[in-house]
Amino acid sequence: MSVSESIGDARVVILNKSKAEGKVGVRTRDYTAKKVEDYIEKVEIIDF
Amino acid sequence: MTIIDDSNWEPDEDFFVELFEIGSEKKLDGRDTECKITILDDDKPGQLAFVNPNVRHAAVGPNSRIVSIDVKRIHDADGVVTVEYKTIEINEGERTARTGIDFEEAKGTLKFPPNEVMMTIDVKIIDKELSEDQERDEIFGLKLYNAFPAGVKISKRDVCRIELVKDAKAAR
Repeated sequence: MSVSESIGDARVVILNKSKAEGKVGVRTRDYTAKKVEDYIEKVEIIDF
Repeated sequence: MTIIDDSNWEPDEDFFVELFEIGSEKKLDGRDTECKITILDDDKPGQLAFVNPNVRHAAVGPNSRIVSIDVKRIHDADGVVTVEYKTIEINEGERTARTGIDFEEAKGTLKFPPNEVMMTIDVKIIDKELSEDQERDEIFGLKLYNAFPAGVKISKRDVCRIELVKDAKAAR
């Protein structure tokens, strides 16, 4: 997905295709964009 | 995901959001367990150009020892922009102005702060003693190069031709 630099917050939707209960971790990873400079790092546990 | 906005031009950049297994911290297998996010830069640094790419300067008399050349930043003015400049000799035969004889070498970097659209470069002209029937008629150049960041363009007319004349009335 592509977002404008001025968007503020970008939303990423995570689907639980199996519809099973459980937890999964979500985290950001640098590529050419770098945390702190270009986006705010996120590490989160999602509880389905 | 919070994207950080700034006013400086930069290329579009990517990062990933990925799912990982709690405990092992390993990324989950599968192509649909990560999402690439491209941040599209929306800053426009503009273009640099000489206000007047052909300058005639009265090089004899009061206020003759400095020629001031204006550089403008057009279209947009987001972020900090720099450009290097230097005086150059232009081969015009007998009319060629010489470094150290007709003008002093000028070399440096212009730094445009955000939203600054005009800056000036001063070049020192070397005085000459002329008799009444002698003319001053020499040409040299001032070149812009190495603009930064990469999104900044320099006008195709990147050399300002500076013509030194004797008569202030002939200068414009």
